[in-house]
Order: sequence, then C-alpha cells, then structure tokens
Amino acid sequence: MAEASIVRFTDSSSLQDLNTAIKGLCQENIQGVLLIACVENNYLETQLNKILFDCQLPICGGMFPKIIYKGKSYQHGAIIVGLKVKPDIVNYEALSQIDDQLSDYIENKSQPIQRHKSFIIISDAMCKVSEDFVDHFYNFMGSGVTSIGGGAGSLDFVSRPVIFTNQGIKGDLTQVIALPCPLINDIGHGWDIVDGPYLVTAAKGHYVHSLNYQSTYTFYKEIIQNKVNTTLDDKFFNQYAKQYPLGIVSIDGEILVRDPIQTNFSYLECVGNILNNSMVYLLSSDKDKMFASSQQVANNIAQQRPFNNLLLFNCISRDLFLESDSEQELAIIQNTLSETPLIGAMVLGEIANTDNGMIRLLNKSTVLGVF
Amino acid sequence: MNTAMNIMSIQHQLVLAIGEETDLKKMIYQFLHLAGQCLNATNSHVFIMQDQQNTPVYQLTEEDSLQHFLSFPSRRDGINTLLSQNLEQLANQFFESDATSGIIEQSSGLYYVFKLGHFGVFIIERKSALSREIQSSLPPVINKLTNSCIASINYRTMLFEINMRKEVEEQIRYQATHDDLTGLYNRMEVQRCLTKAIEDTVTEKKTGYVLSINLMNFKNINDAIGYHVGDKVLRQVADRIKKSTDKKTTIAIFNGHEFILIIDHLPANKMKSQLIIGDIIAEIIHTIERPFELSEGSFSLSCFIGYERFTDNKKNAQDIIKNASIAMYEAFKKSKDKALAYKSIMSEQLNDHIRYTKEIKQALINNDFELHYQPQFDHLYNMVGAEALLRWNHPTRGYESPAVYIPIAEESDLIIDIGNYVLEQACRDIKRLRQRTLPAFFQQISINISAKQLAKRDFVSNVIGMVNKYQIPPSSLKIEITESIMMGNLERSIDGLNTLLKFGVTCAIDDFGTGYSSLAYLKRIPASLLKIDRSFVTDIHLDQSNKAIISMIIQLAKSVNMEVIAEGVEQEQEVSCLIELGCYQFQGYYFSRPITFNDLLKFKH
Repeated sequence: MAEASIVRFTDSSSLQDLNTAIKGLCQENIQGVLLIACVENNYLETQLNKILFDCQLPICGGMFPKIIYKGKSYQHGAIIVGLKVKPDIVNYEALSQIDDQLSDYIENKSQPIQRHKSFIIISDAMCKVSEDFVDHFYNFMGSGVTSIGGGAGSLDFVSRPVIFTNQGIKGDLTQVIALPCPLINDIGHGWDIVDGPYLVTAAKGHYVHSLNYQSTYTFYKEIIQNKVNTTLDDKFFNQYAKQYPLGIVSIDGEILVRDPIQTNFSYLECVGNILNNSMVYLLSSDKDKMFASSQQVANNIAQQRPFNNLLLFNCISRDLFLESDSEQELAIIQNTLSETPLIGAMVLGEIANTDNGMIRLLNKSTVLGVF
Repeated sequence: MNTAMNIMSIQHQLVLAIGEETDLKKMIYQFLHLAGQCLNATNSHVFIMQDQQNTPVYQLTEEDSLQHFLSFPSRRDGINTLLSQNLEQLANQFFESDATSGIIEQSSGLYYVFKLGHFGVFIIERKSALSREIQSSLPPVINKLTNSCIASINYRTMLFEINMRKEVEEQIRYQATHDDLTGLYNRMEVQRCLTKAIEDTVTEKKTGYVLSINLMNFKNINDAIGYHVGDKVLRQVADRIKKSTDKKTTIAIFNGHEFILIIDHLPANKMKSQLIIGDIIAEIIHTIERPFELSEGSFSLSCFIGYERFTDNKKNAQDIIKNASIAMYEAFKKSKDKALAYKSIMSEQLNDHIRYTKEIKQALINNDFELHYQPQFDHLYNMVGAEALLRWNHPTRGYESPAVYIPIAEESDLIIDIGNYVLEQACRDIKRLRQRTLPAFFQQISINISAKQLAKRDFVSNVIGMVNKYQIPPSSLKIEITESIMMGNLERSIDGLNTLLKFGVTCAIDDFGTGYSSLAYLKRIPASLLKIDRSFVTDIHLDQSNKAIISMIIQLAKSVNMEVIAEGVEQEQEVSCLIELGCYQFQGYYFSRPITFNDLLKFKH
C-alpha cells in the first residue's frame, strides 16, 4: 500500500486559502497534488489558473457538487491531498471533438501509463463521450487493472471547466491519474428491482426514446403511477426520477443503475448509455437498503487492511435521495474504517470495475477505493 | 418468461452490435465489446484464418493459417493478451477438432469456444459458468457473426480489387500523360495543359509564357559516359527546374532532353510579365549551369531557352510550343544569347532553312552535285594525289558555297546521302583515272568523311563495297576524318578504321591542330597522314608561333609514324619554310586550285 497522503481541508471558498494550502503542502515531501473542490466555490478562473500554473508538482483533480472529508459532506471548500506516491497524469483533452479517432487517440496518449494497473479517473460529466472513453481505455489497458473515479461538474448540468491540470482548469476532458501502487476498490448501490423487465425499443447513447414500443416518458410515468397508486402530472419527473431509476441486469445478476436526469416529455436522458434491445428494470431503494449497501462496501474494504488512503466517489443522487440522512451513510463508512480519514466527492456518475473486470460508468452507486 | 426475454434481448443486442458494419475489425470490436457487457466476459477473442499477407480469408488454401485477429480488452494484466497465456494453442486445438462449440476449463477461468464457419474461432472467457439457456441461445448469434465476417471479407476483397483497378487505371493514365524517367508531363499532356492555360488567360485577361529549354552538351554525357548517367543528370535537371519555378508551373519533357514550361496567370502588362519571365529564365539558366555532382563524376551543362508569350487564343497550343522551340533553336544557332523571345522572322528563317534542305535533297536526285579535285604535291612538285571536294552547281544560282550547305546537310541525314554520293563518285573517278596512265608518284584520291557517316554501322562495308564495285585498288582511296568526329563512339570508329586499313584503304586526319581530341588518342587512330590545318600554314614564314606549332605537329607525326601534308599553301616562302621544318607534301592555291575532274585529267598530262 502507498504511504499515507498528507491531507489538508478547508471549508472556505477562498482561492487564497486554497493557494496557501497547496503551497504549504508543496513544502512537504510529496510527489503530486490531488485537488477535490466544490464547484460552488465559484473560483475565478484566471486566478485559479495562475495557482495551477505556479504549482511545480503534478496537479490533478476536479470540482464536484459536494466534497467528503472525514465522513462529512461539504458544499463549499476543498480537500488538498499531497500524494506520497508519484502520480502519472494523462489529460485526454477535447474528447467530444475527436469522433472516429477516439480509440487511436486514447491508445497514443496512454502509452506512458500502460505499465500501470491502478487508476483514478476523473471525467467532465458534461462530456458526452465519457463512457466511450472508459470503454476504449479499458480495451487498451486490458483486464486486470483497477479503477475508481467519477464525473466532475455541477447539478445545473451546465458545461464548464471542472478538471484541474497543470495547464489550468479545463473541460471536455477526462483525466487519468495512474498510481504506482496497488489500488483496491469495492462498489455497491442498494437498489433493487421492483418492476420490469422492459425492452428498450429505441435508444441512442444516453437517451432512451422508447420502452416496450412506447414513448419512454409516457411509459415511465405509467409504471411509476402504478407503483405509487396516484395519478401523476407532468411535474412527477423531478420528484420520482431520483426514487425510481432504471437498471440493467447482467446475466450474473449484477444490477447496473441508470439514473434518469432529464426529460423532454418524450425521451429520458440517463447518466450513461443504454443499448437498443437491452432489458431494463424499474429500481427502487430506501435509506436502510442504501445504508446496508454502504456498510457492505465498507466491510469489504475493511478486509483489505492495512491501507493508508481512503477515497470515496459517491453518487450525488444518493445524497439527493437520502437528503439529511446522507451524512449517516458517510458516517457508516467512516466509522467502519475509522483509522483512515475518508475523503472523496459526491459525483455525477461513478467509474469502477464491475464483476467481470470491465471499467464501467455507474449511477447511484458508492465507489470506495483504498491505496 | 423474464429469462426468455432476457435471452432474446442478449441475442438481439449481440446481433445488433454486429450490425451492418463492413469493416471486419470494427465489426468484431463492437461484437466483442458487447460480449463483455452482455455475457459478463472477462476477455473475448476472435481467431481467423489469414493468408501470408495477414489478410483474413474464409476460403482456405494450404498457405493460410489460423491467427489471432482481435481481443477485447486487447491486454491482460498489462501485457498483450496473446502473450499472457497459451491462447493460440487453445484456439488451434479447438479449430482442428470436429466440434462446433465447447467449454474448456483452465485455472485462469472458463473458455467458451465457438467455430466461425470453417475459418475462425470465437472465445469467451468467464469467471463462472454460463447458464444452459444462454449457451443454447448463442449459436444463432455465432452464425450471424460468421456470415457477417464472410460478407465483410468479401467486401474487403471487392474493395481491394476496385482499388487495385483504380490504381492500375491511375497508373495507365499517369503513364499516358507523363515521362517515365523524370515524372514530368509528356508532349500530349502539355498540349492539353496549354490549351487550358490559353482559355484561362483569355478569361482572366492575363498573360502566359511557354518556355522551350534545350540542354547543351547533354548528348556527350550519354555518348561518352552512358545512358545511365545521362538519365541521372536528366532527373536532376527536372528536379532543379521544379525547385526553381512556382508549383503551379506546368513542366514537360520532349524528345529526350527538351523541356517545355507553361507559366501563366502573369500580369497582362507586357513589361511587367516580361520582367517576371526574365527572372524565371535567369534562375533556370543559373540552376542548370551549376555542376551536377554524381558518383560517376561532376558534369556541367548549359542550356538555350526560347519562349513565346500568349495573351489570346489566336494561336493554338501546338503553334505556341513550336514557336518557343524555334526561338530556342535560334538561340542555340546564334549562341549569343542564352534565351530568345520568339519573333515571326525566326519562322521565316526556319522555313528558308527547310526549303534549302529540300533543295539539297532535290540536287542529289537531279545530280547537281559534282566533285572537284585539289591536287596534292611533294617538294619536287610531283602530283602525289588529290582531295575530292564537293561542289553544288545550282541550276539557277550557280555554285553554292559548301560553307552554307554542308552545315545544313549535317543537321539532317542528308549528309549521309551526300557522303555516299562522294564515295561512289570518287571511286568512279578513280577508276576512270586509272584507265589513263597515272603519274609515277600519284598515290590516291582522298575524300572527306562526316561524323554521321563514320558513326553508321554500315560505313565500313559501304566503303569496301564501293571499292569492290568499281574494282579499284583500295590503296587508291584515302578517307579524311577530323579529330572531333572521333569523339563519339571512339572504339567503334577505331575498329572500323582498322578494318579499312587492313583492307587497304588508308586514313588521314584532316584539319589537324584545330580539334580538341586528346593527343593520347592519336596513336590509336590508324591514320597514315596528318593534314596540317591551313590556319597554321598561312604566313608561316612570318609567324614564329605557327612555325613552332607546325614543327611540333611534324615531330608528333614522326613519333607515330605518320606523314604530314600542309593545307592552304599559297606562297613560295611558305613552301620553303615547311620544307625547312620537315614537311614535304603540300596542297593549296600555290600549286593548284580545286579543278574539275576533266581538268584533273588534263592536269596530269
């Protein structure tokens, strides 16, 4: 396992505080800086860039709706992690403009890190090719690698620069932080099937146009109406979508959650691709199931002791779903692994290996990594 | 019910992933990627029979072998999938078996193997077993994959053949429009380009120029060193011209080493365009005159350029190119300016030249040529021989100067016909002479041989044939060659002259001292006589340097066992001086002007 990182935390949105923390850390014996910051800090881009340019060490990380420090979440502030291991950082830029050459681009850019097997992946959640990136990256790196990560950005779903690099804050980018030490991960979500399956009869990328040959929106509204035994109006989506996500079930029974985040009253847009001809299910959960799932993740990770660094990528929609109980979920994990400070972020889509080893984009899940 | 739907869903997703993709690699990548997702495969692989060029095939020959085609993911534990285990062996063993599908259990996991027709293997690796229902749902998917692979391979083959055909067509088109050696346009293509340039020039109200560039001394490289060097030089000339001109300039090559350039889109203003073209010409001359450094040596060339301006479509492409060539020829002929613009008077002069050539031809047919003879004497005033000199008695203009018609005849093959006439007439005259009583010291009649005549392969047999035809002693005929004509194919010329010498026809070197041949060759030329050029003889008694040169020539002749004869002897003092220096044979007005054959007959009596 890697030597314990030096962690600094500030709950202020001040760039000066951030700068002071980075400079202070850089005086320590560290090899790189991982920044996990709240998007609501609203850092001034030019001033932020100056800090990033000035940093003499490799710098990485992103801005998220919330950050997690010692089992609590914050809407403002930043976590500055001084990595004791030397990270090899690759920034895959302008991804949405690459189109057909994505595979070749990833292959070429990944050459310097191809000997690594442990990766933290931070993607711009607004970049529509993030999932394609993950597929091609996995194809190139191969089975046997371990990844954790998540989507950076804000809940307003407005595209903005959210990834920290030594060349400034950037968007339309996926950042891979290759670690020269073992990384172990575990994932969980606590969502169960309550209805289905439904056949995806028209879908493209993140957009599901029709289920069982009907407009997805109408169909989705109907099945939720049946569940809640209430006639719903068109405002139902904002209230119920976070409670009733869709799920794809693998032949080995593993559920991959697909979170509907937007609709135009015809299609549903999910965080992650859904394929034509695939079967989807209606999922639901409650706080107990979620807590149980998080407890299981923490227990599984606890068996990997000893470790020095705990990094959590928890879906922001869990926080939205659990509301005030969200802190309890974080506390469950921190309390189980009390010897190590739990740091991380509430993210827009999580990234981790599933059962068969494939790196996948997950929704409404907990991804916990230790190194 | 749900299981059935789930299986159908997996089948449809996999089939949809195969889709309509025509690129085999892309199609299989999509399929393997989805197999990872739908079948929870840790790794999946496709092996396909491939030919010796690693091209996938489905109709097999003995040379084809089963080879890894693609895996998803492409690596395992950081290294290439194939290297990480003996997967190739597993695939080959299964391929050789009669089974169409199977399960192989190894420590690393479970391998579900399926045959793709008779040409491939598909392998799915999993951590745990697939349910029986899923397994039985896969064969239709594999069939679809097999058929799609065949379609894709066919498509690729078809595409390959179409591309091949396109390439061949392109090659034929290229060959039809380009010069093989230099890659420049050929005559046909440059005419097409010029026609287009003329149209553009008229539409855009601009000016264009056609340049005709001819390389001087190039033929010497081909003749003396060989065509392989000439070709290298020509390619370098082409490259240099390309580099020294704008990329839009059309460059072509004609007749071996004549370059044609089309430079268009120039300003309509004549002065402005003339300035531009002047600069281009200067650059081309400069670039061609730089030595060509090859492994075979350093070679220097020069060039003459003719050019014609075009602003309208009154003249067609052919005429403009012809005019530029005429201007180039004129520049070459005058050798004063390296480049000349075309003027209509050049065409008139050329037409005169052509007309004159026709007249020479007609003169040969009409027998208007005759031979006059200039007697040669020894120091005791005995006539020892005579030189046959060609005269053209034009029906209307009288005697034409040889200085006019010989160079014109030399430009064409007419000099060969004229040479043949001289040879035959001289032999005929010798026979007639011999029918009379010859003076005791009269040895032979000599005739001049041109470079083109000597270069002809049948030259020797022609001379021998003519001597035999008129039944004259070979020793009664001498041929005169100049030093410079030996510069061509020296070895063949020497061989020919040796054959003639053995036959009995001797050889003289004419105009000696004015040529530029190496003196080292002199010993190799089987000549028995050196004719000292008239330029050294004139006023020799007054000119010490000429006296020194003649003395040296005489010494040289002695050293190679040759006799000497002085040409152009016009004064008694010259005779005395020549005798003093050791020259005892003479030809010139002092002794006799050239005379007709009939006068020669009288002269000797």
